[in-house]
Amino acid sequence: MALQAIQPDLAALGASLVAISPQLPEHNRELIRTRHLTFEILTDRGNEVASRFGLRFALPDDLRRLYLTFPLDLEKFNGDASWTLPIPARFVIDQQGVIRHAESDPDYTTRPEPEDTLAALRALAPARTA
Amino acid sequence: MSLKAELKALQTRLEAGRSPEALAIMHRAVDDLRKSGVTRILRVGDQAPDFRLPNANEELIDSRALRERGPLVVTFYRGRW
Repeated sequence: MALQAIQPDLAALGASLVAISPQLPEHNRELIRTRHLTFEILTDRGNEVASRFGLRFALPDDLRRLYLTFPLDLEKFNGDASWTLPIPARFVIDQQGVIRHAESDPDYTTRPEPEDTLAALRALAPARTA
Repeated sequence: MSLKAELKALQTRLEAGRSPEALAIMHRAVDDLRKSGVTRILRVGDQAPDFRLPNANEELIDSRALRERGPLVVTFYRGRW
């Protein structure tokens, strides 16, 4: 995950990073082990938190049937039967909980570049109390 | 590997060897989502919901505790498949 590469910059800016997906913690343990990740990756069962950010969508029936043939059984992988996923997105949230930067795109191949996230954080930095 | 190269590899892995019919279903789902679902996503200036979710070791992580220490970056992704 390219986000790992900007961890030192994030730390220098006093920022934390969490990644959220619906997949079960066992898959996140695997990711941390194989990719040597040092940030938290969290399990959002049923995409409940994603829903509160306006990101949850249900897979259409044809896509769901197709995934099962791959085979990709999201019910098993995510431990819930909802067949929902989050729209890929990134938010920068300030200390008061206000969203200061937001990016999303339904096409997961165009996820936000880490550099854009850093630029948003740098823009925030002068407003932070030391 | 850069993010773009990584995503390309991911896309190739998910789409490799798929029939044109399969690819059409996959791409149509993205197009439909783009048309339908993007207006209710939280925006700059909105209050972000706080959350508590389990990490890889099943310990609960509290977003409010994190953001009170400094800016919090939250990334949503589909999964490692």
